Amino acid sequence: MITQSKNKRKDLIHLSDSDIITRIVDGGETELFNELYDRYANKVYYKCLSFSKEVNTAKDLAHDIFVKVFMNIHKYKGKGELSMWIYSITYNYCVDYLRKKKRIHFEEFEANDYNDLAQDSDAEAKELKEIKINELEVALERVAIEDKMILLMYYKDDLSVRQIAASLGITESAVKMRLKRARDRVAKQYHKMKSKR
Amino acid sequence: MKDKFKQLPEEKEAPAEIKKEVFKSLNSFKLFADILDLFTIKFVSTEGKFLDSMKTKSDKHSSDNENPTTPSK
Repeated sequence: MITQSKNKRKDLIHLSDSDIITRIVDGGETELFNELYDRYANKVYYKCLSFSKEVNTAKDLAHDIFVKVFMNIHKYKGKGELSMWIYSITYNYCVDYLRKKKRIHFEEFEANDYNDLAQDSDAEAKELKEIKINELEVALERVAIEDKMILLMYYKDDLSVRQIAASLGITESAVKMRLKRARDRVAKQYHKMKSKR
Repeated sequence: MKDKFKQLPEEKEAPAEIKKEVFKSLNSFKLFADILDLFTIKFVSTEGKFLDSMKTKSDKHSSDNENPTTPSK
């Protein structure tokens, strides 16, 4: 019995996400939700844990996110990778939760603030080029959760500025602005770490 | 910059109970949807069919009365 299910898993591993979705939506093979869950559970759970910092909350968030994903799977249009769609729902759900708990706040920027965007940000980019992975991890833990979130959305999970704006409920210019500020803050943290060495 | 972020850890083993709870919730939703379907769409369509059959029967009955097949004495 176990060997049979292992063999089935082996067969499913070769299926792409979009093949699985077609079989679920068009063929009604809802048991394939298992495979999708196994593919994304650890990543979604990790994100929930890294933002909520509490195991029980992370479990609840991950549960709700997967129920939402599976109930809305027919809405996934196949544009872009499924992973991006799932992560976008994950971020959106975590942002809602943290907003309700008043643990994050995405402030609006003044028109003048946007002038900063035009400024060259080479210095901070150069500084961050030298950063080691473990130092980046530490620096991300030291900046505000909003900063960490937006940087992960953009640099790690490849969400577009438009997708980030939709997830966070802010304008695209505000996303660009916030990305720049978040990079600055990470660079500042890195600078502090370097000076303490 | 992107390369550095890509190398950050990205997963932690999700506790098994989450999967159990997710599929339990999905089954409850499915059951609820089935019940809703039974009492709305299927109920209305069954009721419609029943009323149609009643109407056909009564139409037939009234036309039988108007044109009786057995000749009157």
